[in-house]
Amino acid sequence: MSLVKVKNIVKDYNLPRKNLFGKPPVFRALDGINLEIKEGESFGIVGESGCGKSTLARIIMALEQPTSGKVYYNNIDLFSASKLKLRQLRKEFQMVFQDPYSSLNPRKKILSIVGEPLDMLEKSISKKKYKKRVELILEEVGLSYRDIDKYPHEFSGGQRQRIAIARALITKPSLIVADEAVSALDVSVQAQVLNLMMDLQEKYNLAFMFISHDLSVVEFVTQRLAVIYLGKIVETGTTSQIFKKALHPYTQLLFSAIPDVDPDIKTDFKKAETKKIDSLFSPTHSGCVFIDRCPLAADICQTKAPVLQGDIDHQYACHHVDRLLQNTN
Amino acid sequence: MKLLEIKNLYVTIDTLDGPLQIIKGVDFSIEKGERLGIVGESGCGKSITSLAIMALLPDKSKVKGQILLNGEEINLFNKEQMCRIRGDKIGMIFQEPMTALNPVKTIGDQIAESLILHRNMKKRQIIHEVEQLLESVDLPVERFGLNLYPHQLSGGQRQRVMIAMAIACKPDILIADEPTTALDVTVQQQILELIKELAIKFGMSLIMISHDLGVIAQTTQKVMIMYAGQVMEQGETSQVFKHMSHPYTQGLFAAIPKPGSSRLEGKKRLSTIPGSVPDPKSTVQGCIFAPRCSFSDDICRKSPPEQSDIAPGHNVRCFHPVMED
Repeated sequence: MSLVKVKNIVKDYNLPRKNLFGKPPVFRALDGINLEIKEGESFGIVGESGCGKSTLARIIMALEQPTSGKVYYNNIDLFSASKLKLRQLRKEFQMVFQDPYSSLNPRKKILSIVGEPLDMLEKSISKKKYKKRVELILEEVGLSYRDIDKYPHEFSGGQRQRIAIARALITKPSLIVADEAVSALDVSVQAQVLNLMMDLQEKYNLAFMFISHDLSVVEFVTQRLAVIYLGKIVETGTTSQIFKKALHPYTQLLFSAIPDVDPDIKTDFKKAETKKIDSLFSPTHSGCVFIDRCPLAADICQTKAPVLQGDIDHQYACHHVDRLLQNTN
Repeated sequence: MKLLEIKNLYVTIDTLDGPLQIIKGVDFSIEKGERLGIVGESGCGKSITSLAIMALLPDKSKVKGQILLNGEEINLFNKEQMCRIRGDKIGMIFQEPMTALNPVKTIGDQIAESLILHRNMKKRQIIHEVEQLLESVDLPVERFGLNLYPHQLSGGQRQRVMIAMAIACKPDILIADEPTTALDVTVQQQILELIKELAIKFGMSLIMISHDLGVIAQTTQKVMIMYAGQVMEQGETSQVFKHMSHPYTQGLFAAIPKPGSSRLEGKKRLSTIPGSVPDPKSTVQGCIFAPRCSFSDDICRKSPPEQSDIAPGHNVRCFHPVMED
């Protein structure tokens, strides 16, 4: 069953106006995003910085209103729900942020950092219960119940990220949005935190929205993923399908950029610099968003925006699918 | 003669809790035009090593051992002498392009800084040189004027400006401390290519510091793996990456998700190195990695292992190096 349904989300930001009486130019951060996250599933979002990954996360977390489109959470429309209802719903989705050094308040003790969601969302809880809940959840993420009186600076980066995960888990959510949650960690610590997240996922049937630019992590963790480029999904489907046979030229470009750990395999990277992308963010832009970096760009890409096509396990937005399919077969 | 030689380097930093030994006897050397990688997790001392070479350590630190640049002992240099080395003989690219650039100076001014300091050039020459530098880091002057400020550039472009600053005087050695950690994969790849290309083009030696094994594999010829202030394994990159022998190196490699290792297809968990990096305050009698090592036995806990050769140009600090089956 689907937990979160994102329907046709568009998000425009107004840029500073160029002249006093003109309309401000519009920057389209997300352009018609559709996706669905099922219960207990981990869903990956891949893309470069500025592609709209974090904007999408903020909208799903109801931290920001989309310009148009809807987000359904268990079939409840987040943005037409009453304030009270929305507050109750917030228990269900929590977020883990990228930098464990700046996402924890250095002046607060772990007890009040991890318990903070309870202050907001379960105000009636007794002090004793509150403490018990925090202690239990700390044990759950591999820390000690004795840690409640410590301050964040007493912990290493990996432990801090565990604290952040504990804070997200304390309201017993069914979805956790992890925005680059392991990018700031060392490989061996990253592996520990990833293992923890996957264990918790199985235990509580959690759904994860896993935003990352590290493709090998995404491949390992997620079941399905969406590749976003300049606010549009260019390829989506099951992780194994996409990693086996990436069809969109952008996904291929991303894959080719991963430095291989075997020194004998030289990374075969196609140099592709973005030239002038400002116009591509404009809502009036028609045509493919990837056009100026695409090796396959043709006339049709200038005039007509490709739509997602293919079967449910693997969809791609490109006019040259036939050619791509031939090349990979 | 070696271009840069580090002999038995110890770095101790005074803190409120007493002196902390951050680097515990590091030896390495680098030839002209050679590219060396330093790998390790945070806190292993890889950045401190590079800062020691540049004499940019915090005031309360003591350096023991020798740092020889072209045979000259630069760790004995005074401030003024060191200023002549920095930027001229050794250039450095710092980790975070967002914070390493001065936000209130134009990029032209910042790139010109070391030229003004080290080269006796006329204004027009300097402007010309800065334009050339921008060109060589693929920031065409028509679009990226000298009078732009860092906030007008993207992360990748700022890192390019950093590179232009570092290579302005065509130093003998370029130190790149995690130059791509804050960047996207595609941009990372461009920056790595650029650094490598420039190093080859100008005959610069390169010290690439990174925690990303892929980055090291793709850019370096020699590599050393550091842990808690010591070199654990050292050698030719291709040799070390194929025949890694130290349990720590193996643990590091095993912890990266491998391409093709989807969780759906069998493999459920990533392998990890148990425990965590030792507290620099603690003193260990035996091997520093022993508490986390699955091969450790009594001898490891009693006395520290020395670095010993296991193959030509490949040494390991371990009593029980893992050999191939």
